Amino acid sequence: MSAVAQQNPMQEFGNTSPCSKWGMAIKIDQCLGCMACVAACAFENQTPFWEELWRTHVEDLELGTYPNAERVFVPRLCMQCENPPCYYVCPTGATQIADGGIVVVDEYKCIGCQYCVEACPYGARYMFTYEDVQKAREVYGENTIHEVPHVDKCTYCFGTAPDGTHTPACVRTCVGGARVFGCLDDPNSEVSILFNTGQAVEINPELGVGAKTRYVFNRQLGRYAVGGGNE
Amino acid sequence: MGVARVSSGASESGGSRLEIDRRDFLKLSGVAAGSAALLYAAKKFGMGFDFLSLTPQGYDMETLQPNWTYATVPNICRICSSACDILITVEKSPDGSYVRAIEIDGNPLSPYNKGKVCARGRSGAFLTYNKDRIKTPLIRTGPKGTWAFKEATWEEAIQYILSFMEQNNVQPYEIILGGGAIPCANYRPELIPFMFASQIPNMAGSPMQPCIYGEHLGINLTFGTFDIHGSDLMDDFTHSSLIVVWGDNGNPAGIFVTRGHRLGEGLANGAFMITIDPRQSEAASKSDLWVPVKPGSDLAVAMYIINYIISNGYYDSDFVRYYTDLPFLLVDEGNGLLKPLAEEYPDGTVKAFMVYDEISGSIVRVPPFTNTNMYDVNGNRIIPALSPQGLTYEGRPVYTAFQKLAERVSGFTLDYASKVAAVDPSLLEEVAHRMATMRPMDIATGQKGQWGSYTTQFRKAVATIMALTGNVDREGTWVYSGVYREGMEALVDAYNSSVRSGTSSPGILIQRPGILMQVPYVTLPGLSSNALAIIFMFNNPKFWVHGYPTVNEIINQNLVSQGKKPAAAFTLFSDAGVYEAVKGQLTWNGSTYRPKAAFLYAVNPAKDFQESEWKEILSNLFVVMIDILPTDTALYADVILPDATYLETQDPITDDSAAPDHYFRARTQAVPRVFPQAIPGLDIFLMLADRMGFLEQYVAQLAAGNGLPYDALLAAVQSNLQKYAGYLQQYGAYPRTGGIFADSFWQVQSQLIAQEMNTTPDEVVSQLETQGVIIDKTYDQYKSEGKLIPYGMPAATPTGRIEVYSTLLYYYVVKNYGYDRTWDPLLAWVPPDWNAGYAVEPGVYTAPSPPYNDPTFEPTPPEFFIDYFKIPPIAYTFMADNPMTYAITADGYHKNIYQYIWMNPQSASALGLREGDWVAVESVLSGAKIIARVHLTNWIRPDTVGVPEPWGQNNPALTYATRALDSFGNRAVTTMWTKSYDPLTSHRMTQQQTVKVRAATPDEISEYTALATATTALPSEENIQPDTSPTGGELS
Repeated sequence: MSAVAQQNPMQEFGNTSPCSKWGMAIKIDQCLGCMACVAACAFENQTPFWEELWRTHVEDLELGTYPNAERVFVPRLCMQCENPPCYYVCPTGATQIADGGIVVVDEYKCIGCQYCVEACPYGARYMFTYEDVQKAREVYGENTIHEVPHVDKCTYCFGTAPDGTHTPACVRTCVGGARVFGCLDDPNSEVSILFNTGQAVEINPELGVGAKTRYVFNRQLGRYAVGGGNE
Repeated sequence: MGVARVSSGASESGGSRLEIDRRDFLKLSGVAAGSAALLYAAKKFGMGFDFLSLTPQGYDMETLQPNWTYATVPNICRICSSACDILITVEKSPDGSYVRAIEIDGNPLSPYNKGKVCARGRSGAFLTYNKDRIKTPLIRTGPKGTWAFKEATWEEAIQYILSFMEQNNVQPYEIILGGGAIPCANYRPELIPFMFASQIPNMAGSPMQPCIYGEHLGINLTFGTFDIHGSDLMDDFTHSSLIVVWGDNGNPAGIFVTRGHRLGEGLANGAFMITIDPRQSEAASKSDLWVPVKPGSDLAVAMYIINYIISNGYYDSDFVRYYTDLPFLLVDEGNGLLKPLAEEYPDGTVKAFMVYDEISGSIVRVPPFTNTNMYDVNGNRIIPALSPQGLTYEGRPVYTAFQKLAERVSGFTLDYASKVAAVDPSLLEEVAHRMATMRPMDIATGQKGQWGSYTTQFRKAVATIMALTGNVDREGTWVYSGVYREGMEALVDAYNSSVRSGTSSPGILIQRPGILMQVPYVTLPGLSSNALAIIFMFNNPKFWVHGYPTVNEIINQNLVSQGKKPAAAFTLFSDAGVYEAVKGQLTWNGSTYRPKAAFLYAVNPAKDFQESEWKEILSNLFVVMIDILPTDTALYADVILPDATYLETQDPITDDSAAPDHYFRARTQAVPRVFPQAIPGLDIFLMLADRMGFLEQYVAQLAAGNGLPYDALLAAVQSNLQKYAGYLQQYGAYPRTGGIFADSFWQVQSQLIAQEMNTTPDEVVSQLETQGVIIDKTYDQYKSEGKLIPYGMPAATPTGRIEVYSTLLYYYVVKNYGYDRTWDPLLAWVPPDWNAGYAVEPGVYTAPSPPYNDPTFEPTPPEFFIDYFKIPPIAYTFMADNPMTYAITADGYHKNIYQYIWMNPQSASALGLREGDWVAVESVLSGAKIIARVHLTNWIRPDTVGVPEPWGQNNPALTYATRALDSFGNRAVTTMWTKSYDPLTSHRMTQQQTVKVRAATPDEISEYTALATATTALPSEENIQPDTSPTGGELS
């Protein structure tokens, strides 16, 4: 048995170096619809699942008619826009673009006006109410992340990822390997390659938000993929 | 704490946008750095403290929850039978008064699940902190079927059990043990020895009958495996060119993480994927081809594909001749029976098989147990023929198994198969061609497909397709596990040394129990362990001091004495016979055989077995239930003993897994037990053994079965028993950390592993406690050592080859029960026989009446086929009571897909049904009924309805699960399980019936959405708070 460095195994999840621009590509072909990401996120970020509110959820879409019916799983989360509509409408500056290009909400500045919830064209935000704050203590224990009511959203697990890694919970656990997360400043990262070759595309690009969460449609929905094959 | 050393580093990288480091961010937000109230607080995890010794260790981390510290504890998930390696994050408060498990990740160092874990595993901490948990022993105070219990101390509960046993003179054979997926996947090494020590021969194991025997047996007989999913075989989808998911979604996408992960990799690598399933499952949704075959047609399709492979010459002839038993010569006895042409010893056991050698042009003998047919019994190189013409032996015509296989499938043309399957012929032909020619191929091994009398022959056909195309133990195919290879090595050593020393003559494994018993029985690989267990132990009255075999064999003998077929010819830990015995219908040795008590461990027969039968069984037995949640079975328990959850439990070290690498792993305790009255299940068994007077026998069996040193183990157990049981006696609660099994086994096992791995016990313990895994040997190392199967080493089949012709079926089942196509050793067509066949009455074949006697039959509404399915967020009915997994299934995106019955819109419209309507689904065979809402979907054939598996709870103690009453009602799908048994495996032939569907009446809706009555406080109402302190209640 070789000498093993006694480092925390969580380090193996990678993304241990800092980055100024994180991005995520979701390979629809590999999403198995297992919902592990939904649970992982909710637990890591202590979100109010009892209200059917999630920072990430997976759509289970039915297309076509039997026997030419299709079933497509589409994970949905914040697009981490370069030009976030939510940022521009926030009256208090609670919504900020933080390290890594991640859009976050300072819960102490948020007054719960919910303009941002309206403004987000992707439905990525929701209100975390006072009742939810109380319930979270009961459900998740005393050491809650959410201390006051505020608008909540996906933050690529900003600052909550285990030591040494910035890999969000959904990415760590994605069983099918659909979620790819990495640094867009590094041209050799898988996410950069998917973005730069045009394989990863924005949903509703006409909205011009500059989404940093993009999707790779290859076999499913008949979309074209650069560099891939299409059976 | 320290300065932020690992941050997102914006201050280091520069750039045009507003770059802020964390401290500035804090200032901007106007919140003091010391406040614990920051959103998205960067909780930096590290090995902040060694949990159990509470000594901080050296990771230099900042936390923005000031002074909260974190530990990462390796553990093994205990929610489904995958048993994935996990890492549990535990937090501790600044003043040290509070600890809690706050996250579960997969362990990225695990060669098994590689850092992944599913929605169930992620939600695992909710099991520990679930307010519905059973917190103290409970004793029944009101009628069965209701929640009526009083709290008791452990001593009271144990005394209550012992008194019953004594007053009723309960004998070991009058006890039915029960075990679910958790004991099956985790605790076989500890519970099988318990059965031998206690002399209890009966176990109703919920995975064994439907999954292992009802689904896997066909593959097991061919490949020499037993627990494909958790122990013996891995689907190496990652490297497959072709992935086929056939008749079942559970394995890759329903979901088992070890397979799902590899499926994702395979897809990323460009594999072509086909799913053959009447329903568009998750796996079907990823596939290039979805082939929606008619339920009951899978065997016809498989036989067509075999026909296609053979008649077009696509089989790998060298693999087939050298590594399978298809060149074995057979005699055709007529009426279906094919008998091996074998040389026998005077005692009647097999001495050699025969093949036709192309080199010498003669019939030669080949060894009974070996990995290859390259050499005859004298060591001469031979080339066994596959299709010799006009062979005779002693005047009788003989054929190879290969020739007979070709003959058996010759009638399964494309035309016939596509008519039976009711799919487009060009689609089927494409499937056949791809399966015949794309290599490597992996056909997912199946976990819950079509249950009928044809299931075993169907899975044999699947295994045959893999064998014919040489897709065996190569990358991209079914790869044997590392632990299987280790066991096989030990078995081969035992065989060779017995033969060399003359204590045994060469023979087939199932006729050489003396050889099998030289290997510690828990470690015997695959089929060899089951064959030994069934043939020589559980079905053998002479093995038991009291002369009673397992109840499965009792019902077999009762039926046979009535001139009928058996109900469980080759199966293990089935419930076959339990119902009949409770009804007083069985005799043994001239007297009525009637069980008196049941001891159920982590199993839910009221929902996971035939529901109405088991409610009656449990109502008539004294029932002791060891479990975590008050499942529906609790409504029938007499005594409930609370088990601890896996986060709170340390378990013996194990190397059991289906990973191709051989490695050691362990469940390390992550948090002190939050309810100190809850005791780890294994310790409960050990204390019961002690109180019932067979502790030493139990330890002896643990030692013998696992290959552990008896003296050392006994000393450790006795010492720890004194400590832990003594503490329980004194304080009425169990110590919150450790356990008898934990402490004793780790002590003894770490020594053995240290020797094996050439290191120290402390190193072993430290590695397991911090990294979770110790890798011993990789698949590539086995390959380079020539230990691939069967190329370099035999499989654990009786002959050592890949057995397309099952010698076990011939030499055990046919020999004992005569011929039946259900257990044809080669391959036989078994028609769908809807609402007939063996599905009507145990041991009796009922011929189907028209139209059910026509395999091309298709029902029209209101009649349908029935298909039922797992859903990924829930595994087994107990996870339905997890608040998070329940919420995922119940939210607007998924509720109707996961909680309602599926029906094609065409058929719904023909019945005037709309989305969400309540429907009644009634079996045409038995009248059994479920009431549930209907979901209209194009993801299912018009002639089939799909039923989700996890629902039907009605115990009001299950706060979350009973919310599904508004979707699915209070009967589980197991209500539809046939009351009759498949004569070979005893599985219930659920899909061998048709159902009628109609709108439910208001009376039906209110009856079927009713909760059971509670007359005493529910666990969620008890004022017992979880103890989240890190210490207290430990042994000094």
